[in-house]
Formats: sequence, C-alpha cells, structure tokens
Amino acid sequence: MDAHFDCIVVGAGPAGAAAALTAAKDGVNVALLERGQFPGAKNMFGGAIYSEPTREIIPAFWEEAPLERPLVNATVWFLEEDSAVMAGFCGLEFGQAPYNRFTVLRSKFDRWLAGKAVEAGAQLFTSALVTELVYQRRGLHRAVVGVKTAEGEQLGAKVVILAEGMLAPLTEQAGLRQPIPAYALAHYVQEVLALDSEKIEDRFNLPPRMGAAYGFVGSPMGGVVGKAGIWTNKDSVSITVGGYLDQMADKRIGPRTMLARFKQHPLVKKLLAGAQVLEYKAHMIPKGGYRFMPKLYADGVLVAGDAAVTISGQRGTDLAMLSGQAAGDVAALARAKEDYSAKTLAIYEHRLSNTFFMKDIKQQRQRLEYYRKNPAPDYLVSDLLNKLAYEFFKVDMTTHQEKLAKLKAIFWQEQLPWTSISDLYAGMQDWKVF
Amino acid sequence: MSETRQLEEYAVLVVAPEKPHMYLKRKGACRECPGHPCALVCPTEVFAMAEETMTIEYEKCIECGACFYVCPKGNIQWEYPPGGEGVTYRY
Repeated sequence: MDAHFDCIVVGAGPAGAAAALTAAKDGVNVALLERGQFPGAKNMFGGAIYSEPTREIIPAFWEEAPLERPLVNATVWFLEEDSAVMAGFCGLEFGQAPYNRFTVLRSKFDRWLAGKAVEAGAQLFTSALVTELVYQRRGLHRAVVGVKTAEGEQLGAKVVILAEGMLAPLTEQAGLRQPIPAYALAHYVQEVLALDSEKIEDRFNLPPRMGAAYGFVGSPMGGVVGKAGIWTNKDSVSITVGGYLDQMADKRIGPRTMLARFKQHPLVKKLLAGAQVLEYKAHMIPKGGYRFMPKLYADGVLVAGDAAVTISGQRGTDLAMLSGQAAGDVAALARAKEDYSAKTLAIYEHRLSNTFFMKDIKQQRQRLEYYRKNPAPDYLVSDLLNKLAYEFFKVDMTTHQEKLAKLKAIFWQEQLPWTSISDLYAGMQDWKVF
Repeated sequence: MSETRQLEEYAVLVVAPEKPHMYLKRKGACRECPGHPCALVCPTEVFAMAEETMTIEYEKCIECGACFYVCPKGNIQWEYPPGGEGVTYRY
C-alpha cells in the first residue's frame, strides 16, 4: 500500500465532507478523495440548503459559509399556457438568525464544507478518481481494506465511506446497491443566469439581500411528472427543470425542450428578461426511496448520501450531510473499538433508522408506485385551478348564483379523481416546490 | 491532461478526456431502437444517429448518467472520466 489511513472517504460532496469532518474531529486519520478538480466541481442541486440540519454539522455556519440569500419567500405556480395561479408565503422572520433556508452555489459551498474537514485534520486529495475497492479475506468474509485510484495507486484504510454520489459505481461494484430503474430517477437540467441584485429584489418583491424560491408545475412540463424552480442567488438566479426519466422517454420530451418551454412561458420570461446564461448543468436524483436503498454497510465499508439514496421528497443535500455525519461518527466509534467488522458498522444503519428522514422514507415507500399509476394529478389540478381562476376573476353580467353555478360546473367537468388534492400535496412534498 | 474548454452550444466547461469514457456494447443495436431515448434525454446532445450509426461525442458529456439509465437495451457502457477531467462547474 502506498499510504494508509484509518478512514478513506470517497467523494467530497456534502455527505463525504460531513463524514470526513466528523471523523477527523474525533481524531480519526482521514483521507477525503474527490474526482473533480475541487469539491463541488461536479455537483448541482435545486438551490437551497436548510439551516437546522446544516447547524448539526457546523453551528452558526451562516457566519462564515459562502451563502447567497436567506429564503423568505416560497411560492408555487400552477402554470397554464397564458395564466398562472400562485400560492405563496413570505415570512421575514426567516431572514434572521437562525434562518430557515439559504440559496448557495455548490461549487463554493461544497468547497467550503470540504475545507472545514481539512481544518479538522482530514487530508483532501482532488482530481482523484477511485476505480476499485481493495479487499482482504477475513475467514469466510471479505473486508474492504482500501481503494485503488485510476492511476493504479493503492490507499489502505480500516474503513471506507462511500459518499460517491447518485451514480455510485463502487457501491454497485461492492454488491451493496442494485442498478436503479429509470422510473425511480428524476432527471434535471439547470441554468445559472446573471441578474443584478436590484433587479432580483424588484422582480421577486424582496427586501435587500433576501431571497425567494418559486416552484412551478403544469403545462411547460409537457405531460411529464416534473417541476421547475427558480432560486434567487446574490446576483444570479438558478433555474431547474426536470422530471421522471422514464416519462421523458415515454412522452418524447427531453430536458432541453422542457427548459426551453419553461423559459418561453410569457409569465416566466418576464422574471428572467435580460438575464445572461452563465452556466448549464445536469444531474439526476434517485427518487426511488426505501426500495432502492443499498445495504448501508459491510465489512470495512459504509455508504452515505445520494449513493445511499437518502432522499426524502425535496430533501437530499441536508440528508446527505446528516447521513455522512452518522457515518463519520460510526467510523470513529469503530476506531475506538478497533473493530471495523460489519457487526460494529451495523450501528450506522441502526443510527439512521432512528432519524426522522429514514422514518419518512420508510413510510413513503408506496408513493413512487402511486405516481407511476396516477401520473396526472399535477396537470389536472393546474388546469382546474386556472379555469376556476379565469371564471372567478372575469367580470361579467351574471348574478352571484349564476356565477357560482358556472364555477361548480367547471369543477365537475374536470372529473378530478377524489385523491387529486392529496396527491398534489404529496407531490409538492416530493418535488422541489417548497 | 487536455485543455479546459467551453462547449459550443452550452455554457459549461469540460476538460475533454483523452480517451472515450463511454461506448456502445453492440454497435448495431441502436438501429433497431425506437426513438433513441439516449439522444432525447442527453442534456448536451452527445448522441446522434447518422446513416444508421449512433455517433457519440463523448467530449461533450457532463456526466449526468441519464443515457445509460434510459437505454432500453442497456447498450451504453459508461464510466467516470479520469480524475480532474470531464465537466467542471464554476457556479
């Protein structure tokens, strides 16, 4: 072995950085390996981190982290071709410590978080691609005892934490995760567009330095169960559009078309007018939930973050950090016990199973199946709301009674399945609206 | 390592790997494929059918993985480009 560590963390995203930070703080000798040129170089997300979970990793992180804007406004738009029904909330309390959510740019935030791990004593290696796990026979079992890089270098470790992101080739190679089917994956593209901070505050009706997140469902998604979002950064906005991968193939509408349709919507276009594209990104989210979670541990190895499919509704980045923290803790515990066997590392699974998010993930295990069978509620509700709104707001020459009769007729014409409203609520939890 | 450059059609920096990090397992299989969902879902138009042959501009890949997950025939072999190569996001 070329070098030896107590713990090797593969991937310096939120899960890996949190794992390395936690273990290093406990005196564990940690190597943090990142395949990108720097942590965050390969990453994309909807646009906001959450204060309370992030505080678990770094208390009062807002005093030093590279943050864009605290979010004080969340609005969902039900879009039809030339109209929109909006439901939103603005709470300025969320603009003060301890805050609620912040927009961040991942190339800055992830780099900062990995830097915290380095401050705690972890060694960061960038442009370092791990291609194989190294095993050693232990009686009837085999244990992970290190990693091999693309350059053929071997690094030894008593425990390897796989925080390698959603594609997770090593987790699959280790037999811990099965390939995830296309119907359990959401595929998103993103554009970051430059926009002056004054324009952002004007257009999104924001106090100085405060931010908004807008979520969109309806016609621009072209029949795919999907959503769009706009997040305000300091002097840029991030827009994200996507949906289930299998449905894109079935409905013959790809993410590039969805993005173009969204940006062309007359009401969206106004928000983005004059904004120049700075960057284009793409990323998938493993939405499959509990059924597609890997085995979280084996002899000498733990899995965290997107590789472990710790996704619950819209939440992923915070759960990645929390699962990484738990993995780092258990690595430190294993070192104290000098036992890195599956038996000791099983504590990690036990720790996770007691978290709020694993309880949610388990409880929502049927949701994906439901969405596969009933893909239309977003569209039905969006269509209905816009028709009702047009009728409601149209000033005409009828009595109140006649107006009410018209509204009722629209409602009954739509043939909404009775579950649509609750589906929509589930959908809003599930997708990046709020 | 090759040079970092911005893709022509898309605002994204890619260090093109020297060797392809993706290839088709069976060249002929794409001919029978209805609709080529890989080309549809690829964010940077890496895939294109030209004269009954699927062409792959792997230099444009931004590593989302959608192509090999959506391929109905499991015909796309894909791996990460070498460390430091491939897409580098600045934002």
